[in-house]
Amino acid sequence: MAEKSDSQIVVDVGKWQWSEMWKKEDWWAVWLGFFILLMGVFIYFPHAGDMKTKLTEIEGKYLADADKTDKFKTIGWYQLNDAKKGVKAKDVAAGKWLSNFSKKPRSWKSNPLEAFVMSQETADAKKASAMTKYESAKAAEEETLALAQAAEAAAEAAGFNDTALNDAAKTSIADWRDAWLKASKAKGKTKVNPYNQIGWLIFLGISFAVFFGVGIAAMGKSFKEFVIGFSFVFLISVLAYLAASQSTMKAYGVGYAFWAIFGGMLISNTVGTPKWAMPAVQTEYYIKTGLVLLGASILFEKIITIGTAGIFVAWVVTPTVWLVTYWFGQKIVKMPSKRLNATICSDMSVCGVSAAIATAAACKAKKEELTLAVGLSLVFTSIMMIVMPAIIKTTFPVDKQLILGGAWMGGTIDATGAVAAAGAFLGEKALYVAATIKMIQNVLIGVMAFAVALYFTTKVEVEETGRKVGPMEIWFRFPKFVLGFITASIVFSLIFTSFNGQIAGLGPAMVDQGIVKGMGDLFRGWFFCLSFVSIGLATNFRELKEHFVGGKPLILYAVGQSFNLCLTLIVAYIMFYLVFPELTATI
Amino acid sequence: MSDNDKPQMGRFKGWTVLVSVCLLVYLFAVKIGPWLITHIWGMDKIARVIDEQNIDAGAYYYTEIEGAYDGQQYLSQSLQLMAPDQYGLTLPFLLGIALCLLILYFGMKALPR
Repeated sequence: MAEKSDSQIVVDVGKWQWSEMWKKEDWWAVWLGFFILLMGVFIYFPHAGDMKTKLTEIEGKYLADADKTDKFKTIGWYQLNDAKKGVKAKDVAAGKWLSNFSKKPRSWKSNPLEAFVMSQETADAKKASAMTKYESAKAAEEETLALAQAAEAAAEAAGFNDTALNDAAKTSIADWRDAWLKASKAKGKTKVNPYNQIGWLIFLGISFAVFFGVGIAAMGKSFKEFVIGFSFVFLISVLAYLAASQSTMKAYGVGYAFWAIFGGMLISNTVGTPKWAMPAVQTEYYIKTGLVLLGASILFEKIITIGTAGIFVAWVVTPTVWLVTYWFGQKIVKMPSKRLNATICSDMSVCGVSAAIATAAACKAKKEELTLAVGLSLVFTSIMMIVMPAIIKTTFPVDKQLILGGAWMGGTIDATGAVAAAGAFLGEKALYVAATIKMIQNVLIGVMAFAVALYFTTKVEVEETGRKVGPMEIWFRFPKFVLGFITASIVFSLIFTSFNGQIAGLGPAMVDQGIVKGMGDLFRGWFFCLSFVSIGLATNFRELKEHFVGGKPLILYAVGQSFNLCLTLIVAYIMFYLVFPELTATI
Repeated sequence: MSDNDKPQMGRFKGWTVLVSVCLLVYLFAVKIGPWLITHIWGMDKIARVIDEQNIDAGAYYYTEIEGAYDGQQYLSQSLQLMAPDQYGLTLPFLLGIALCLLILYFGMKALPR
């Protein structure tokens, strides 16, 4: 009953054997992913007491001022939140070491060497230039803070019952926040230190080779051949990150996924992928391990962040768009591949590349299908990042640009980075709303991946094989790494909520700014990059072209995204302005 | 792995194309791209915001964006301070989740065979 092995397809076996748990890459992805997460638990969780103490001290200092009134957000309210945001488990010594160990190439403009090495002189010069800007921004911030304090004191003297004084305080505080944001960003640019990343990157490459090589050896393949090939795959991954960290590429929102696929395909279609590198071209192995790490950042408590309006925009519109677009793809466009259809639907309606990866792995899509879906998403993302803020600025009423505009962009632009850039263009509140709506959509990845895996296992594969399936057969066929992905999500969601139950802010400090950003995130990006390089190295243009026949994927994406734009805008308007206006007023 | 391990073109042509494309990409990064930014309407402003606020516009997931954490903190605290009855697992909120799951369940059942 075992399925025929095909290197183009994410392989799974239709017969249960206990040895699968150490011989199949699905299970190895789960073990390796959980190994990294457990290391994070051992490193960060012993510091929970320290983090709690810091948060308690912060509450002692600012809470009384923060709770003075519910008429507007006081200076103390902002200071309380700013101070809490600064409490991060990843700031412990081990976290800083891990950050250096896994660091990607840094930003550069015209000299690629700057991505790897920066001398003391260059760092000093950059710091001096940044300090001048920071000092001027800091002076402006102090000036606006003094005005805000005076306005707040006047409103407080009137018992916060004078509407005019309250409004004046609100305006002064908003001006101070604008100045504070500028000063805080300028301060960030003064933290320039010399670095030499080359040694760290070699160490990281060797560590990854051993890390994945253990699983490869257990699966009965050659450890030595894998390690030799891995040096090539890792080198291309470093080059992909190098291209993505260039300032112009950042401005266009062209990330590592594009460069990894592009670099891999360029090599395989010109000089050819070296034979000795092929043992390390292990797309699914890297992707699935990365997905288990991704699971740890899917924290269910986050969906309550922006209340009911947010859940309707992100969780009701998204599956509706997915289903309608999939139906359109099958019935009207007549997509030749259901898997390509599903992958495009996910990257267009959920959240771009990360959703495409999860869906492609869950429905066992071909590498070329994932490449095509990711490519479409990247092109549309770059266009939407520029066009949508311009449309909002010119056509939306001024009082609705930040919240309605932010929700619209958050629900429709695929990639989070582009959402943040487009939101920041409109203003801080638009950035917050847009990024939060996108974050809630990100949480939906787990639900969608599970639903897609179940749908393809119980419906599509049954049609393809012509055999009915019982519960055991579903278990045999179900992609097991999805279980690791869902388990990681549930476990860390419970831990997050449990920390927050002790004191507000402990969950973000320990899980978001500990396990997730201090461990899972450091490696997840690398693993996805390795998988995209592998896809590129194993793909030729002719095969990719076959999937694009008649421009059907493009038609599907364009129609689906148009529907998404209309539905998201309508639902966002109804939810934020007609059903929950009180909620909108708090933002 | 089909014929992917074989070069798609001759050795000389292959290397020429590879090096040329790399040079073109570099040229786009340092010359053409920055020139285009100043000539595409609205693009220069987006580029300036990205640079000033140090946003990774190529990020694919919310954990890679500082604004997502700031926004989460700001919005949840705002809601708890000024409209606490609308924060948390309220009935309409749970209805939203139930609706999502129902749409997925019945939608996937109804998809064309």
